[in-house]
Amino acid sequence: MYRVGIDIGGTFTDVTALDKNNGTLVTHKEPTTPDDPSLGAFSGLKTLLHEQRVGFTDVEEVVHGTTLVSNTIIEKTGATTGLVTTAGTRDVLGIRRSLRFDLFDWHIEEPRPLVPRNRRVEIDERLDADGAVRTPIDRAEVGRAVRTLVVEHDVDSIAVSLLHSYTSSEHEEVVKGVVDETYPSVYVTLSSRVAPIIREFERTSTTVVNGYVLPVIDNYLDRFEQRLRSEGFRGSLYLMTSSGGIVSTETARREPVRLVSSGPAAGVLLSRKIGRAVGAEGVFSFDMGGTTAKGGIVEAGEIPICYEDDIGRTYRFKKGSGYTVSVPLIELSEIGAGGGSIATVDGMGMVNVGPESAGSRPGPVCYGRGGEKPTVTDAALLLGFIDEEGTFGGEIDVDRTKAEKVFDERIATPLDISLERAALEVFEVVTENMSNAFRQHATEKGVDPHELTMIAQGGAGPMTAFRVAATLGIDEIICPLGAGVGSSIGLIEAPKLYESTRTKQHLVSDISLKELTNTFDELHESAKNVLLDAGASTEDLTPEFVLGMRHANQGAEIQVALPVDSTSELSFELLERRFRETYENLYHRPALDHPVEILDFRVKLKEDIEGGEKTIRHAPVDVHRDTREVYFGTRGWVTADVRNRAGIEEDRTVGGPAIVQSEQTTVVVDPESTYTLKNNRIHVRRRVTEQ
Amino acid sequence: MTREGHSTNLIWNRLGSTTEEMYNVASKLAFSSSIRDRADTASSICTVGGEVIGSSKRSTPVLSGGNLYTTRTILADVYPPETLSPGDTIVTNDPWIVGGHLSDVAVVNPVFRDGDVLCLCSSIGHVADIGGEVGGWAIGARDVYEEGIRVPPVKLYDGGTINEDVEQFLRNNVRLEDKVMGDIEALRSANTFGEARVNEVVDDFGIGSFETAIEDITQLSTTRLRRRIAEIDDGTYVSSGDWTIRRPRADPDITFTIRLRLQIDRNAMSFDFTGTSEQVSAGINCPLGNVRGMLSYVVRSMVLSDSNKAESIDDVFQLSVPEGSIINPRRPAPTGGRHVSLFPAAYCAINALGQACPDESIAWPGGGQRIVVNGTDERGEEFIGVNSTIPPWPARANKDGISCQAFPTNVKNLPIEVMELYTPLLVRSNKLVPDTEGAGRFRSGFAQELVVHNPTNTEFAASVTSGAQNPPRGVDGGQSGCPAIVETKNGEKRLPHNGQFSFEPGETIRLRSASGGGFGRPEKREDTAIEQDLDRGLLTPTRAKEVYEYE
Repeated sequence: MYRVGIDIGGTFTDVTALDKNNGTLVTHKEPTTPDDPSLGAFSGLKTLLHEQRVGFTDVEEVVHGTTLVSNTIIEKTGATTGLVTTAGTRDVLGIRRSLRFDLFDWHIEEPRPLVPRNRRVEIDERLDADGAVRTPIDRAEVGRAVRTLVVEHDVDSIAVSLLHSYTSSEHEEVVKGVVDETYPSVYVTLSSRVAPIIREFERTSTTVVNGYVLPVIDNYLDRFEQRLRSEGFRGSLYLMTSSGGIVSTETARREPVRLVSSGPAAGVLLSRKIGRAVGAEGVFSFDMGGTTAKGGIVEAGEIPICYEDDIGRTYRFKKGSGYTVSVPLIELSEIGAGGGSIATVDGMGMVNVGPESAGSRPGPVCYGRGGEKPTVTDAALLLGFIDEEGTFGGEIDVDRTKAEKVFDERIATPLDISLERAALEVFEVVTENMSNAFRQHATEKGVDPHELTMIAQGGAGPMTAFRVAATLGIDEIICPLGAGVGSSIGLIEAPKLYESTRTKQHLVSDISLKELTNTFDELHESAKNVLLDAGASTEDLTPEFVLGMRHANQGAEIQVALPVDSTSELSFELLERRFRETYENLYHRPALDHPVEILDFRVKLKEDIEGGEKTIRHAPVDVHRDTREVYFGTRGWVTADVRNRAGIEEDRTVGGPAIVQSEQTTVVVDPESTYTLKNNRIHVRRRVTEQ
Repeated sequence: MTREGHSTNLIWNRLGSTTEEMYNVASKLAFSSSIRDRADTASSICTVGGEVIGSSKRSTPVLSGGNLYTTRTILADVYPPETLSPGDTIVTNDPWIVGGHLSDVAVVNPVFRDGDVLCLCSSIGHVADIGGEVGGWAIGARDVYEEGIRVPPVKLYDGGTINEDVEQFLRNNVRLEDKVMGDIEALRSANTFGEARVNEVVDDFGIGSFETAIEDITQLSTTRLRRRIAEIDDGTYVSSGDWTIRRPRADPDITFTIRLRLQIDRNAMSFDFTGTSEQVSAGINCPLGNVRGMLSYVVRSMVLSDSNKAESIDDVFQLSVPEGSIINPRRPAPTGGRHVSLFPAAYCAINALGQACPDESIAWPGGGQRIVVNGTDERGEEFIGVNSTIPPWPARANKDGISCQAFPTNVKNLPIEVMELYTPLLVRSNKLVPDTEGAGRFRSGFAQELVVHNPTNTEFAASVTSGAQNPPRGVDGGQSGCPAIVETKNGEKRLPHNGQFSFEPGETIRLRSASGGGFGRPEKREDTAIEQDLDRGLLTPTRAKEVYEYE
């Protein structure tokens, strides 16, 4: 039987199939079909299965990762959405949290609310902070509000976010009841279900994002599943979430906001998998594509999760310039640095790279699709990193002359330096930017980057990794072959995972053990239902109990994991101890004598499927070997050995400079490093410096 | 050979990134909500000459400009480099050296390399308390001595060992001593972190490249700015205004004038504040260093808005402010609410520079409002609730202003749900107020209104600061915005604009921020823009007709 991973990216849709009987993987790349992404996904899958002579009936599971949610936000192609909210709070979406995301640019714009002010209707109801009803909700008033939205504003989807709904869903459920009764075809999202957390802006924003994408995702999954079924697929379809787990289509269709950044999440899962396979304690998952670079950390097999981010950033990929979502997400640092990032020289002779990107259209100059501005990919070409003749496969003809001309005019001549120096400066500036961003991220997590093993993915990752690693003092880089389809391989490895959360504030000194246990048990139960829905079996599920805690009135809560298998093992001594340990670990200073409070409860439930090592089965290719002049700066032009995977002997360590080239990736090995092929992975190691 | 400019470029990026890390360390460890939530902190790396060579882009403009002045004064007047050793930490909160009022504490650590001071890491933050009047922004004092403890530049750590005399002296003069020392330690941790990082940079690039880079950074920043100034039309640009501060009780209102002549002559720029009012005996005077820092921010944002590669540019412009004036007061003038005169000085600079650089121009901003309520709730527990209304940006030359974005500071608002969780108060509404915009071809954002109710049977103490009561002016035919308001819901009781009052059981208070000025004549506003505001319910048809001549 087969497990299939399908990852829809901006340019390509990657498909991977795992033969569960013998642990072999096969992969396929299909151009993405932006108008209806399910077409490309489906035809990619069909092609791969056909090539492998596998029938749809042999596929047990399809795991799907999609950028559809974030694209819907970025391209503003979501549903006409309305908001029902408490009297006095309709401007929550417009006021946001007031923070300016750039102090020096006085031309900034805030992202436009997904629900404009006139589609936000207030109703006169009120809960107190403890969940008690202060003003009861009036069904008739709700009926009028809903009618206004549906009839006057023609909404397809209604988001409901009432004050203090994290304490009680009672009033929000009344709204849902009215909509379901009167307009059953209208979609409803309740904040008490999607994000039962304190802080009205963050909760409302999350609810609105969910409502906005809900009909789009629902339709899409409907079409996709029907296509699969009509071909005879009888297995289960799962969706990848931003926290690195998979959920059933029912859950995905109810809470699509949980899918916002599932693509990058899959990449980190693959890094974790590789880290485990090679016994690396800490992993730096590095993923550089055409527009952005993302860095994530895996420590002792654990992937750090954060509970808030903003998506669809409107301003130079800057944090805070997008739409806030409070859902569990794999924590990543992201900056505007990719193969398509544009290089400029300012009036003072400083080279800047990004965050503006030529993307895939028009793309780098050397792709000859109309790009006129020098990019990182063009720099890599001029440094000799990229296969110009297409000997190693690849579908794009490379136009070197044009890249040279543009680099000469825009970089080399203004700076009065040689062409290769110009290319090197661009390359060094972009790799330094990525190193700086990741160093900051690692510091925030209390991790020293040079102790990590770097795992490089994405179209431009394995090409730039050597220089990023050198800057961060990292000694070993691993580039999975087929790294270009890393995300879809990661999907295959994804466990079933769901997290339930609730805000419920208590001083630790005030809460009873019974109340603590009950709250966790309720959350445990609801997460269990979601996963049982997704076909998991109870005995395979392991829960993790987490409390958001802080000193009373302190600025931010910290996530305190409680290492117990069941709530019967909980004790106040444990809470206290774990709070102190976590606090000290994060802030490098002991916790204080102030009272401690709990702000929220989380239960993370996971089905652990510990799969063994997989082998990628490649289509047989001819051996290619070549040499190329490559420029690394320190030693001038050097001759590098270039070969494809077929031309490399397993387990034999070879010194750089060298390039390992395949259709999808270019691994650059600098003169100071060696490389070894092991299990379809290229290990690049810095040579020990001779004293 | 590597081009010198290239390694300078990379080192510059690295130093900038280091200051962002310093900022993170400080804000994570700090206890004071002004550092954590209000972002009232700044992180920098400076040369031995005091030039800033790296600064966090999130540093509050009110403090970031102060780093240069601070380190320069410390090194020149108190601790010349030869008196420093590794592990030293100097602290001071002198308003004339640091942030303009006592609550801002500067913490400075020298970075040593091979026995010499290579550069300095400097972190400034608004600490939880500094003695004197509560709150740190009060304007009621008659002189600086009433406002709290003043610490001249002194080594809190000497060669890595804490100077216990200094520590005890500090602890004995502030409320919340643990929090205050915690804030100072947080700032020091940021600096020691920065020290280690700077040494890594030197390891990576070599001392030669590093030394070249730190000279070049100032040189390049200055040259960049001078070239840009040369592109601006020469001339004299004047701007001025009067601001009136209403005070509680029987204290008379204070009206002060800021007058500015900005001169641009080829690549030189000078700000002359002759004619500005004299210092007053209320805590609204602003020491000069703070003014200089703020102007530096304004110049950088308006003249070099497209470049993140600019650090020390203060020396490019001449600044003359009469001694003894409200923005260059003599000691011991009180300075607690120094933003009250600092912001108008910044507004004048923005207005004058806007005349010189029309595309960067913005109309006049309005100030924000802060309310502090404290008392004992029905369970007998004491609480303090702090909330703000946040004014919008004024209209810009080519764009509307954004609602609820403080200027020139940066403040995160307090969610209703958090306020209600920690205090017995009820927030009836938090909204944008229609028809409050400064009208114009481009309009300001809308005023924010907060309606707070006391649902208990207990009386609480409230204190409000609303700044000046003047409506922010429009530019180029744009109309004025509206001033801040404080009133009871039914208006039967007069509440002070700035000062204390009792918040009675069952009472409801309405606070409204100012808005900002408009830009260009309102009748020139595009119909589609007017229609959008009408659709959104932020503009009434009556006002659309009367002000925008829209039918």
